[in-house]
Amino acid sequence: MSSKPHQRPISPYMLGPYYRFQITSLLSITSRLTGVYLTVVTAPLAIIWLLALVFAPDVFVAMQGFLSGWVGKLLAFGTVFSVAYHLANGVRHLAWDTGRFFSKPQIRQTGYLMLVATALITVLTYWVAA
Amino acid sequence: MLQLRLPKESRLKKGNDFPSTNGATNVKTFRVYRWDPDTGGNPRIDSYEVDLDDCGPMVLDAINKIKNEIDPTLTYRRSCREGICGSCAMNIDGVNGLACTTAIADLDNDVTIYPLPHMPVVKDLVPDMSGFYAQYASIKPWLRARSEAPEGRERLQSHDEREQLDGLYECILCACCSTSCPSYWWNGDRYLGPAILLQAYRWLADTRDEDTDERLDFLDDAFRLFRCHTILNCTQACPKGLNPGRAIAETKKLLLERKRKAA
Repeated sequence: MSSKPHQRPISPYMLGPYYRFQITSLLSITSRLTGVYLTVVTAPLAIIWLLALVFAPDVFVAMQGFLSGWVGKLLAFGTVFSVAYHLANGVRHLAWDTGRFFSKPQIRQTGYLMLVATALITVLTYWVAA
Repeated sequence: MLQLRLPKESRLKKGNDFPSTNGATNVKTFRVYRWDPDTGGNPRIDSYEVDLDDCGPMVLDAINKIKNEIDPTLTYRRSCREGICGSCAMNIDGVNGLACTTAIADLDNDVTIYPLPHMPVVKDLVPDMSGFYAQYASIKPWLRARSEAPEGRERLQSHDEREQLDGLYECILCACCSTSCPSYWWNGDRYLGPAILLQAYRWLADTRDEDTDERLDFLDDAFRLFRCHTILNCTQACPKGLNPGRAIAETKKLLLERKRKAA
């Protein structure tokens, strides 16, 4: 036996490898990620785009070219999806804040409902834009 | 602190295999977390093959069988074996639950068994619960009355008032919910977590308790209560079918209601 006690390890915890992703944590973390996307990608891009439109027409033209390429289209899809998801899940959270829809089946059902709403908003946005 | 990876000394390595030897045909492998404070080092995963034809139906039965017949060094907590003491709470197949009320038949393939997540490990499947219990003590979980007790009898409640406590008083403090909560993993030192918050609400909902204001003052904190982001892993995990998520939402509503009244 050793004289000094060994430092205790922390038990495994991470979502994915050690704690199973469930609809609760999966939808929650996606909500976070869409929020991060809107803050880190969409918002700065939109601000630069608008500033370029006002102050630097040649930069604006270059950006238009970039945004109509496949990378730009991907970024745009990320934005549309993130707005739709963050909005739909935000409404779900508002409903929870009133104390409703907390039963286990309701947590699942509102989750699926929110995903359907996200898909609908995304498709509708592209349909209107086309 | 947001720490996505396990600290280096907490990462798992492969351990020993204990294959079934008696020619059993209905065998299930249990992959179990092991850490011994006497030898230290990284925790390891030992694999035990258990003969299900000679084993009770629950995960706890399999663990008992491993300890009794295969490897007596395996250390874990258990007591009532009927889901009322909360001792055998652990991470079974990636979800927190009580080993004694989780049926082996409900689990596919190999079964992984870890201690409750993000807790200091005392030994094997035994986590150090002292932080959790200190948080429980911090909410002063007893009836706090200011008025004089009625002469010669207890403080009475109507049936409706008593009913307010259903779904709250049944909590056995097993910590399955708290240790399933990512927010509790990152901020467990300051966030009280679902179990303790459900207990706190149990006293807020009790018509005999007269310290509601002080209780709300204590909870009205960016960390203690409001680190709850309504992820709801807690409600998903509770082996007693309780709803800590709802109790927390009701507590937030009480705080809002109080603020509205004061304005």
